[in-house]
Amino acid sequence: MRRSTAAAVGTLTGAALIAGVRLSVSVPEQPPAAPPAVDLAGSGAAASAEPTPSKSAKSAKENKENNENPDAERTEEAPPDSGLQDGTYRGAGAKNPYGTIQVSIKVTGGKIVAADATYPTANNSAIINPPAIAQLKQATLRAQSADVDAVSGATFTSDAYVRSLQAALDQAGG
Amino acid sequence: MARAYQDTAPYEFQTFEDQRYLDEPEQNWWQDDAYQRSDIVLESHTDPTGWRAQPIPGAIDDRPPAEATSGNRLLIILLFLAGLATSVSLWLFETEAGTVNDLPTLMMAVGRVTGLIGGYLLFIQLLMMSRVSWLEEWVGAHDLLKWHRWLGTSLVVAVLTHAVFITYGYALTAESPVIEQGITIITTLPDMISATVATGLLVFISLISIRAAKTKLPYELWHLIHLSGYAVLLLGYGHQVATGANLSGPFAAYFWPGLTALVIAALIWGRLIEPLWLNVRHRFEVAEVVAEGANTFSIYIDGKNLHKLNALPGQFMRWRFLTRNGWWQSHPFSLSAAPNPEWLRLTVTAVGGHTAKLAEMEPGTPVWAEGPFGTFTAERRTRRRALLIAGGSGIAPIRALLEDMPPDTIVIYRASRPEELVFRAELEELAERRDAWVRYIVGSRNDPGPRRLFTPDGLLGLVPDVNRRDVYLCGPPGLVGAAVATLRELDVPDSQMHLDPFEF
Repeated sequence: MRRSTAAAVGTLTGAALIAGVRLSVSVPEQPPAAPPAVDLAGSGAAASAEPTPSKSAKSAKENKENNENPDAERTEEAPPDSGLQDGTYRGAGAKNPYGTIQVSIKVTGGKIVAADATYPTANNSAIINPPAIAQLKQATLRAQSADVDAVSGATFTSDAYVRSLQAALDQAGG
Repeated sequence: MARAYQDTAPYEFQTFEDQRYLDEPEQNWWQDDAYQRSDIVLESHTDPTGWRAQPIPGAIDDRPPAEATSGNRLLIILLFLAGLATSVSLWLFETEAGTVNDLPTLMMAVGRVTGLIGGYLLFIQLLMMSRVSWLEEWVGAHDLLKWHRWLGTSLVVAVLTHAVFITYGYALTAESPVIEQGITIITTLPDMISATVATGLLVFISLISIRAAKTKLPYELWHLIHLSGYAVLLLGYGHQVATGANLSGPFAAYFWPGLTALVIAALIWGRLIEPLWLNVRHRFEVAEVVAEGANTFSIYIDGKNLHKLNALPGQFMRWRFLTRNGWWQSHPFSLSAAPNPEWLRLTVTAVGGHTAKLAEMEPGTPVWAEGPFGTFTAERRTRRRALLIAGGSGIAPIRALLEDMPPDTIVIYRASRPEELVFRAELEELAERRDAWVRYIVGSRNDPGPRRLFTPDGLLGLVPDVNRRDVYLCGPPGLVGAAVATLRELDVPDSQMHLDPFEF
C-alpha cells in the first residue's frame, strides 16, 4: 500500500470509528435508564409526569425542588389508623454519589402493603442496585418502618433508600 | 547426498530480473544480459540537457520496489491510534460536560480512561505477538517486538493506574478507607476476583521481562511464563464487560467483543493454523549438517513442496529440531541462501551448549518450523543501489539477500578473525554474477581498520554514495548501534536503513 493510500485509509477508518461512537451515544439516554416511574396507585398520568431521577446536576436540582413541596405527591386521603394514613406516598428523592433514590409506599389499613423505588441504573449501579432494592423492599414490608438494615455491597443505595423511605413515612404519618 | 553449494547442479542462481521476464519469449539479446540497465539516449528539443533517455525495450526495470509497500506500517500505526482514540471516546462521549467536577469524580474519570486504554493495549499486545502472517509481512517481526516492549510498560502502568484510581475514587465517594473499599470491590463486584488475578499475572509477567530479570531466567521458562498473557486476556475480560461503565453502550457492545474476537482469531490463526498447515505441507527434515568455519555450520533442510514455500531471502523462520533433548527449544534462524525448490539452508554459529548440539544432528531429524518472518528483504528497497553490512554470523541473511540485490551492491563483512569469515567462495562467486563488491574488514575492534570502518570518513571512503543507498544491517547489537550512529551522521534517512539485529 502506498503511503498516501495508507494515510487516507487510516484516517478515514479512525474518523468513522469515532463518529460511530459519537452517533451511538447521541441517542439521548437521559435519565440513565431509570426503571419506570413508580405507580402504585395506578394514577398513571400523575406518576409519569414526575421528573425521573438522574445523575446530572440539572435533574438533581429538579429533585431538590421536588423536596420543597412533597405534599404534591399525596394522591389519596384516608382516615388515620395506627399512625399511618392510607394512601400512596412518595418520599423525597435522596441523593447519594451515584444518583437519586426515591421510594414510594402504599399504605392500606395502616400498614405498608407495597414499596417501590426509582434508582439509578447507570454503570455499576445496574449490577448493584436491582437486587439491593429488591432486598430493601422486602425488608421494608417486614419492618413496617424505616428501620431497614443496609444491604452489604450497596451501602450508598441502602442509606439513600432509608432516607427517602423515612420521608415517605413522614408524609403518611402526617 | 553431496550438498556443498557448488555441487547443486539443478539449482542455478536465478536473478529476479530473469524470473520477471520468463514469460516474454519475444525478448532477444538483452535476455541473456542480466546487467542490462542502460538507456538509449536520443536528442531532445525540450529537455534542458538536450538529451532524452529512452529505455531499451525490455530492459530491466530496476526501480526500487518499496513504494508499493511503503505505507503498510503507516496504516497499521494509524489503525492502532484510531482504535485507541475510539476506546477513549467511549468514555468521552458518554460523560456529560460538568460531571467531572470534584476529586472523587476526577479520580473515577482517570480510572475509567486508563481502564479503557489498558484493555485496548492488552488486545494490541496479544495481537502483535500472534505471528499472523499479514501483520508480519506489513510490519515485520523486529518492529512488532520493539513495539510490544514499549507498549508492555504502558499497559502495566495503565492497568495499575486504573485499579488504584477506581478504588480510591470509590473510597472517597463512600468515605471509607481505601483498603476496605478495595476489598469490597474485589469481593462484591462481578468477575473482580479473576480480574485481580489477571492484574497480578500481568505485573508478574512485566517484572520478569525487565532485562535484568529476563537474562537470569532460561529463555524457555521465561517464554512459558510470558505465554500466561493469554490468561490475562481471558481473566480480565469478564470484569470489563460486566462492570465496565463505558462498555455497555450500543457501540461498545460491538466494538469491544469485536476486538476480542479479532485477537482470539488472530492468535488461533497465527499460532496454530498457519504453523500446522506449513508443517503438514512441507514436512521439513534435516538433510545434512555441513561445517562452514571455526564454530559455524550450515544445516540443510529438506522438505516436500518447497517451491510453494513463500519465503524471501533475508527472512528468518523459527526452527524446532525434534531431537530427544532439543525439541522444547525454538530457534529463530535466518535463511542463509535464497530459498529454492531443493533445500533451505540455515547457518548457525555455536555460542552455547544448545546450538553446539545442533551440529550433531543426524540427517532425517524432523523439524517443526514457523514462518517465514521479517521484512529484511529486497522488497523493501527504496533506492536503486544497496549496501549490505554484516557483522560476524550476521552474514547469513546478508548472504541470502545478496542474491536478490541489484547490481552495484556493496557488501561489508566485519569479522574479528580471518578464520571466522564464512561463505567466502559463495560471496565472491555471487559478487561476480551480481556485479557486486565484497569488502572484508577483519580485526579486533581496536585495530585501526575496524576502528576506521564506522567513522564518517571511513565509511564514505568505502561507499562514497552511501546516502543514496539502502543499507541492510545485520550483526550484534554493538555493531548495529555503531553503524546506525555513523549512518545518521552521513545523512542516511531512517527509511533507507533496514535492521535485523540479533535479539529475540
